[in-house]
Amino acid sequence: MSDKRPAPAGTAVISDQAPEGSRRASAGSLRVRELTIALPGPRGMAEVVDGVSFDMAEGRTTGLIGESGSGKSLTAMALVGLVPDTAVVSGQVLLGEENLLTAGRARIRQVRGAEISVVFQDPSTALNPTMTIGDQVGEILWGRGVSRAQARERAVELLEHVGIPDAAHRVGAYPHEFSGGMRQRAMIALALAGEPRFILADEPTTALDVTVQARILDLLGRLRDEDNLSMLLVSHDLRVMSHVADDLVVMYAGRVCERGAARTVLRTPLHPYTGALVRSVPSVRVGSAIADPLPGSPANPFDRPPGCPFNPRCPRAEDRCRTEVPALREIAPGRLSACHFAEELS
Amino acid sequence: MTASAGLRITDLTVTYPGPRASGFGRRSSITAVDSVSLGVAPHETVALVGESGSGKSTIARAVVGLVAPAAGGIEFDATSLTNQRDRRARRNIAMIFQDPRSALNPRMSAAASISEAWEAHPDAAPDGVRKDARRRREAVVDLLAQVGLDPDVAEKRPTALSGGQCQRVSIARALALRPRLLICDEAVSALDVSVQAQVLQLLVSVREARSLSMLFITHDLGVVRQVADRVAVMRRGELVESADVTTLFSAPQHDYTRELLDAAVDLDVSG
Repeated sequence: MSDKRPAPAGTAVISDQAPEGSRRASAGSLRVRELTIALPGPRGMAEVVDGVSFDMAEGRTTGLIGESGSGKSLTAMALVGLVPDTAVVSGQVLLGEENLLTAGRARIRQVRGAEISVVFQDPSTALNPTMTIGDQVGEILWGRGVSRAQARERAVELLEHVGIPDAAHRVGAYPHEFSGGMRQRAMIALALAGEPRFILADEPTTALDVTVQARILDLLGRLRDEDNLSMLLVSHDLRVMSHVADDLVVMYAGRVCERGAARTVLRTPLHPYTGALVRSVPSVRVGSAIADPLPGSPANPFDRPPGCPFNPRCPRAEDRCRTEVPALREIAPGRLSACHFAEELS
Repeated sequence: MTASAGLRITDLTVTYPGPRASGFGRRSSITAVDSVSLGVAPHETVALVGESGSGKSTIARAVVGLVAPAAGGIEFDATSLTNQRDRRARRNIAMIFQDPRSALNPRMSAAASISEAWEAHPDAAPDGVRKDARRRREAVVDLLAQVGLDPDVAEKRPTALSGGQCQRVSIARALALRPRLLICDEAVSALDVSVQAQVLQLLVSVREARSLSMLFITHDLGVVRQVADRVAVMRRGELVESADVTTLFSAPQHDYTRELLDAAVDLDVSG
């Protein structure tokens, strides 16, 4: 299998990439601290992401889970500076000691692709329909002083690496000649072209059929292990998360309501919202009744309820929950919850 | 009740125009549904599963007359639905779509979306709703209540409603003509996880209260297990297997069904 791995950066002639190898070796975490994103809403600026902190630990998959309006995608995209022009962003996104939020546009462009890459949900819109897959991978390398021929060779290696059969031939194909699953593999090859250490995958399998979905998730897991990547997987799908995430960050209405190792979070949720999500997943292997549904809809981040944002839907809510915003606090080692009554839930 | 009661699809074939062989050549055709026979008995819920492009939505669209079959028959209670001019028999069938926002007219209030059905099918409208504004309002509020919505939703447009509320309005509209078969085409897939169970529970309670039959199209096998009596598995336009829900999950016969079941992951909290 080792011949299928892309060659290490050192073997390609990448003139301005001298520190690449050393950067890979000294990985470390991407640390998000008190990330707050305000957007203009109907009633002035609203903090639709509010004080979010977590680590993307080296070689691990961090799952960012939430429903519409939870701010999960906005949070992920903010790590690479992809926020609306009207957004006001504060807090820290620390790559080593460098805060990417204050790094400036030129530096962020450098980081994007080379340090942190993004895999988008819908590969049919994220890929350029007028360029061959090979040229799209190559485009990333040309800018780094790699010759066209070398870029082509490297593109073939990358396509092989992500499991595209007959890569030497398919490298000249256009996105529409690929199936949905193959397109997503090509998208992942694109993300890997700059040899990043961090991959942000925003609902990477949501648009795919179940049989294809399983293969793409396997691929992401394999790449994480082989290339020692750190991955942030954004999804609303708890089943997917339970299979691929090592750590979980559960978001609701722009805030983190629970954090911890994925298995323990799903097995013994320390927030009523996480508990309700876990119960709402219908089982395939054994028959189950339709879960007792939560009332209402996910909170509108522009019009967050006072106190705990989950209180109008929470079966345990008391007066305190309607007035006092619960802090995210450590309940057990590595387990954080933003519920006033987290101790009683464990 | 006769053997032909409910929905009967016989050897249904639907084709779409494909690419031309050359600039002036004849268009080839793509067979989206290939000789499929399928029945939904009164009070029965049949789930239609399969990957995208397998033809499951095309079957639904053919049943409600959105696409014309190339061959085969569709009957409801022994009355053919394939006659494009006779829309009366089709009144018995209502469809709920995946994306509730795009299924509702963005410029119309919920009340207008619901009562529009009565204008299209005057003979199926409850007494007086077409002439008497107060009666119409009462009937709309009653339908909204049946889908768990407050009366004040009546005046709201889709943009002022959440995804779950929009889907409830779609269900209320589907019920306005008192259908006997409800077709749900991925009706909960676009909803938030915590809202899916609400809408599923609503669909099941409406089904019980009105003794409806259901054709339930979904890719979520967990949901299939919760709502279906029988499952039909589609692949590339063909029906590969059909069995009652317990049998299909415990003893799938076709390789493709097994592949689907293997690929479907459950929430894993072990280890």
